[in-house]
Amino acid sequence: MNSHDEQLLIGYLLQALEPEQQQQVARRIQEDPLWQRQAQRWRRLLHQLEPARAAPDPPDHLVERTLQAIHRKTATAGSQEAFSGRASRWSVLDVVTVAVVLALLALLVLPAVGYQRFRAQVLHCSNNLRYLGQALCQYHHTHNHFPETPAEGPLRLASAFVPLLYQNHLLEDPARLLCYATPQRVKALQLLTVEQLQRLPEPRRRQLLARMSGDYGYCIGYLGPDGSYVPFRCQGDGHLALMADAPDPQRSGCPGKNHGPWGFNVLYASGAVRFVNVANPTGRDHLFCNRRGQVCAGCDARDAVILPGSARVLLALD
Amino acid sequence: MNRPPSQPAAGQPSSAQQPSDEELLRRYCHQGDQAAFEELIRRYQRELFGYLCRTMGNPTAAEDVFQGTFLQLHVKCRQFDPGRKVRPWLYRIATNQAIDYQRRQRRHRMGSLQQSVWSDGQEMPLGNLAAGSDQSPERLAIQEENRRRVLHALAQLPEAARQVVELVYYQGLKYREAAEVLGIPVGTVKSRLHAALQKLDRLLHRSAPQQGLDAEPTTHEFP
Repeated sequence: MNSHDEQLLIGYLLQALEPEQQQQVARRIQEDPLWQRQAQRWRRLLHQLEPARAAPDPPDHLVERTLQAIHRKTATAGSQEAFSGRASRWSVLDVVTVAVVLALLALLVLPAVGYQRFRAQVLHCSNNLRYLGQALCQYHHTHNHFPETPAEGPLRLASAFVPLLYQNHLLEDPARLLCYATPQRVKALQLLTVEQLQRLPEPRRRQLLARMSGDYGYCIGYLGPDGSYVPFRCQGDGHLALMADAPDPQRSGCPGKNHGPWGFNVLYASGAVRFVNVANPTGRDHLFCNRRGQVCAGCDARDAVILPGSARVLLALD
Repeated sequence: MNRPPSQPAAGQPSSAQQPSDEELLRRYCHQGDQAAFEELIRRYQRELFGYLCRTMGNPTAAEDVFQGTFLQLHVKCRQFDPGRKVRPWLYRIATNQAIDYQRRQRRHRMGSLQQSVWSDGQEMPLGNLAAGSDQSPERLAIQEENRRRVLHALAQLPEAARQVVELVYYQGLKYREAAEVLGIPVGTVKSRLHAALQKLDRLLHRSAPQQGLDAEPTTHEFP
């Protein structure tokens, strides 16, 4: 007899089986001598436990006392729901306390998290500008001036420096031109050489070139003493601003929104990158317009004007 | 049913005129019939109080838990599934109430059968426990000794096994009902009971002599 049969036999003796099973086991006991012997054995075993069956009688008036207790507690609590364990575990005070603690924690933690994200973005952006600064520097070593943004012709946009860097193999990765480099934005930014651009029809050429400098602006040239348009050269002035986060094309002379309203990164000719706080600018003059307050070529070799890539280069305002 | 023939089983009305437990609970829940609720308590007072005494080991604690059980029944009667039986549900509430009570008392195991306050002759005189009060002192002493021996053996079982023995053997629940009370599969109830009874057999054989046991009057006959 296996343990399953013994479990059935115990269930039969204790009448713990369902009625059909009770009948089946009863028939089995009648027919099978082995089952009869086992039933006898289990009867003896179960009989040994009988002495512990005795239990005290319930106390007098238990029913009345139970009803009174229920009535008393119901009246005290005022509602049935108050008796549920869930209701007694959390009081209003507990919920308010937890909410206040969570609010305080959020006040402490969220600004710190937000600030760290902001700092990481600024750092990523400044690394891009540092990389572009090295490319511009190498271009300068070769050509003795920084890439020129022509004031005439089909490439008359501030972003014209990008095809020059690209065709000289100084800039390969378009992601370096993006402050927020998502895969979609990188894919949309197509780098072309000057020759490739010149082969394109006009609307398409202008459209591609306008996007090519990504999130950054570049300094256009200045007007020399004889009134000619001159690209910047490195003349030992490390404070000359070469590039920066692109100014807002909608609001002339205002910084763009790469880092919100707090400031923008600037690349200087020395190769240094600094984050300029809009509320407390450190520069002596405005980066996004010339000394006369115009968004066009600089007044002299010390007057750098940074334009967004899509802006047309103007020598002077009419 | 595994109980003295003089006591009608709670949940099974002794005559066709008496309403079932489920009907009583329905009346109380939906019609506010206080008499139905009182009848329900009266039906279960002996059975449930005995179960709780054995579980808690203390009539005072058993009464507290008994009251708590019916308080929960009063509070949660609307959650009762009409398609099921009241008896297993009530046992489940009582078992949970007993566990909660013991947790509150910082007891980690049901020491009832070990401590057995009601058996020490202070709160419950020995004569009240004997099947017949006209027995000789010697027979009563033997019965008491045997009872203590069984209680001691039961106390050595694991908590889960003891609960199954308590519900199926002493309270007369079916395997299915015990499984419902404990929230475990029926097969687990069977195997736990089987293992528990085998262990009890070993423990009882190892302990005191059997003298007087066979002659002891019993309240129950097995089929």
